[in-house]
Amino acid sequence: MNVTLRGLVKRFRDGTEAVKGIDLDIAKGEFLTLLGPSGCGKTTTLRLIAGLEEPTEGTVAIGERDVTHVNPGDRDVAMVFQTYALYPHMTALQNMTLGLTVAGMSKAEAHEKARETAKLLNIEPLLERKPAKLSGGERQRVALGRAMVRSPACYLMDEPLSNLDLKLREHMRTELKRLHQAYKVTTIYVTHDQAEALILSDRVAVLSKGELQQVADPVTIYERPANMFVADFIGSPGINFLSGCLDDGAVTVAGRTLDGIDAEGSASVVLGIRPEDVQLQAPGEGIVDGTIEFTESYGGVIIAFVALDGGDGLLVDREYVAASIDVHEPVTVGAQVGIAFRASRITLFDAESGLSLARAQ
Amino acid sequence: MMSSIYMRAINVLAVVVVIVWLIPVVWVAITSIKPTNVINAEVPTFYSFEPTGEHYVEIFDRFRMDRAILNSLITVGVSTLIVMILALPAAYAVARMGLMGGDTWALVILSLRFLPGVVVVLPYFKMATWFSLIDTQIVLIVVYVAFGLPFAVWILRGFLLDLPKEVEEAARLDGLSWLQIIFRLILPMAAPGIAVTAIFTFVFSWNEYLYALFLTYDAATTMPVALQKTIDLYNVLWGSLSAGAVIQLLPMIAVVFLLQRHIARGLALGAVK
Repeated sequence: MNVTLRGLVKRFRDGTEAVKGIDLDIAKGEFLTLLGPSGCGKTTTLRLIAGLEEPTEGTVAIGERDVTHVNPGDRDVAMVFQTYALYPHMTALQNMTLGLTVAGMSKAEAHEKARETAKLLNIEPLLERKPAKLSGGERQRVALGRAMVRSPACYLMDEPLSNLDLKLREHMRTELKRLHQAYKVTTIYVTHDQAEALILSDRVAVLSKGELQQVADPVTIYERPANMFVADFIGSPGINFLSGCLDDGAVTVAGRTLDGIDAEGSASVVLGIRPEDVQLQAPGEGIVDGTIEFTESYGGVIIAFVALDGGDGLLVDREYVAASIDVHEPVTVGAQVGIAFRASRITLFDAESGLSLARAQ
Repeated sequence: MMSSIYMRAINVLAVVVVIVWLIPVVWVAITSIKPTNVINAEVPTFYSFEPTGEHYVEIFDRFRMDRAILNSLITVGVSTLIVMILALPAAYAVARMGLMGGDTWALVILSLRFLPGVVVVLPYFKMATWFSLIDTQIVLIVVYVAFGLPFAVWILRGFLLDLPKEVEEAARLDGLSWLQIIFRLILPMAAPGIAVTAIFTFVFSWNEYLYALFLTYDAATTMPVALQKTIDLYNVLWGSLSAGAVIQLLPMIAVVFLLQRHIARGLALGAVK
């Protein structure tokens, strides 16, 4: 079912405003991720949808039903917690069936349903074990099973993979994606891991300080960030920010005019350039020269960090320009290089407001 | 190497502490089976005597210990049960349900324990007289509940705060009501904490002397007061007193043995995450 948030505000007793007026439409069957740094309000938003917190203002609707003041158990949502939150004194089977039997389903029917779900998640042999006898990954599967067995209108997942080791996390990520594609149940997923968000989601909602920054599909979020916060938060290693000048449609950086950027008007601007759109050339051949200070290896690529010559005023919030280079290209630390940019992929931001101005064509 | 020496030192210390604690208990237990002339001998002996059950017979026949045991069991048992039934939801409310000023309430509740019992014994006596409850089991049950409840709420609150909140939230999403959460989840999850609280409450009331002395005199007399009757103006009946003390101690030992697994876990709760 679709989920609609209107003017959602959450102010805590101590005066902290965790969520500041969020409007969001999540379509039926969509996988939407709430992404942002710690304290951005993503978990609070999820808890407001779950009914674990009462909103100070605004409404939550699931399908056509306004559930703002409905008990969590009556909202037809299921939640998967970061800490799994399994009932420690009950077996996996009891964990999965408690919600069903409380809702009035017969024990036999509930068991039958739990076993079907367990088969899907490959946890059938674990059903008689208590959580203490399960590994982290197995607990996560049981928690997932507890959510799935209820066939809810919407899944709410609060960083469900962050307690797993990297290998298992990747495996479970694929599993989640597979399950979502098979059953197409509306899923709202909270994470601070941008890679997870980009891989799993149909759309990503980026939050900062309780406000929505951008809601878009992963490609748009990455390639056309709405503002400098989104551009900065998405992508690893981070985007490069260089200050420039927009003068009657022409963009200049360090006194050189860049061709191929479609922009209008005049303003002080910041250019957002992803490391993969930075090219290293011979000194004097690029826009600006610099020295490779150090490198980081990412397997298939190497990131070279270049200190710009006299680049104090040129870089914004950064000390180096990060350039992504194929692992087979020669890179020497200490070498003098020229830096050029793939102009067609530069995003322009207004230096004052940080908002995206235009996108190169 | 250091740690093994350290562990050995700790073990030796533990043995010493246990011995120091056990000496008076063993002495009392031995005294309870000594003939009166051996008890009163100038040089005490711990083994060369003919054991006797005369003091146990005397404490039942002369001092109505059977009635005192029953009174103690009823007043302490019922009051502990009432305390636990009321304390669990109360502690849950203070710990979890976002009561306005939950921590302040918790402190107010605890501060009731700061009051020395002797300060309010007279008002209690007056009230008991007005309601014609003097020398009844009911008055002691009321008093023990009044004194035990704040303490039990305080201890249980600590245990409940240590339980993971998400489990209760998962239960709310599973559609469980507050009462179902308390009795189907909290109760089994906090069992060690509940056991420890119940034992403390039971022990405090079981050993309580002052109120039992003021508010009862015959029919509802509990064991500590009945024991005191073995001491009169001219005599201390050491044998009977010791026999009574042993009897009073037995339920404590039984409870601790039965629940020792829970007690150890309960006392460690919160210490290790």
